[in-house]
Amino acid sequence: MAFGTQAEALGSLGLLNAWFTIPAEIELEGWYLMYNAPRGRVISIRPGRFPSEQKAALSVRSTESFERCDIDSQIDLLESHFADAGWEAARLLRAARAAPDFYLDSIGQVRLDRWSQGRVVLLGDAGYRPSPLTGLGTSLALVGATYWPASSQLRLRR
Amino acid sequence: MREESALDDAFDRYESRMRPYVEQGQELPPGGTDGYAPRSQAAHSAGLDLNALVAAVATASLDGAHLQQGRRHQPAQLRQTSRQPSLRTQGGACCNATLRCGCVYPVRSESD
Repeated sequence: MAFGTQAEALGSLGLLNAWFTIPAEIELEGWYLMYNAPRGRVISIRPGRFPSEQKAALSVRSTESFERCDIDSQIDLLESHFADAGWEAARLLRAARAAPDFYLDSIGQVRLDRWSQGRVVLLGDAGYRPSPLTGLGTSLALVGATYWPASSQLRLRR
Repeated sequence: MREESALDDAFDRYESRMRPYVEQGQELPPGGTDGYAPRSQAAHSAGLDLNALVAAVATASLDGAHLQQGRRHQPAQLRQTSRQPSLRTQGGACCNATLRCGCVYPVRSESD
């Protein structure tokens, strides 16, 4: 609230991305597999924390809105994009409905002119989320967490 | 009053130090979203060559990684590595290269 609305701060990259855990049904041998299909579709599967599971992601170029609390309609939306995408798409769409941790979100970057207001300061993704396309969210948060105390203590200790 | 002023100074110092890192970290890879998820078949095909070049350049400077050209219509492969790319490398190339390498070019890291 101190920094405006979410719509003002979040610059959309025009991508929807879903992440979820699936049973390990294909052999990855430590590899991260990515598959591109035309019309802006990307499917990826990578190893999970345990040998029995893998982590899947479905990305699509879209600015469509979706119901935050309605997972079935979110998966319906993905089906409309990925039904003919090929590779593991059909299996992943089925697995998405059974996944305990399915999550869909739009991809964007937080861009603000200032990261402080009054006695409030923003660190990490709240102030400068870079997006999965660039990575570095954790790195920037750690740099910020280092610089902010260093910046503040120099004067406040007097 | 003095504390307020000190806080303002601290905020300014924090922002001036952080801003270059953030601008660098938020810089999208060449092609932006189109490079990651091309819309058209033509862009998809053309992008693959660019992706290969970018991936080759990116991985060449990373942990002894190299690009291994694969066959079309296969998913890209990126072996997980225990090494952490540097801030500069990850923001400029490494992480993006893994996303851009598309469905043609497996990227293998020799660091494993």
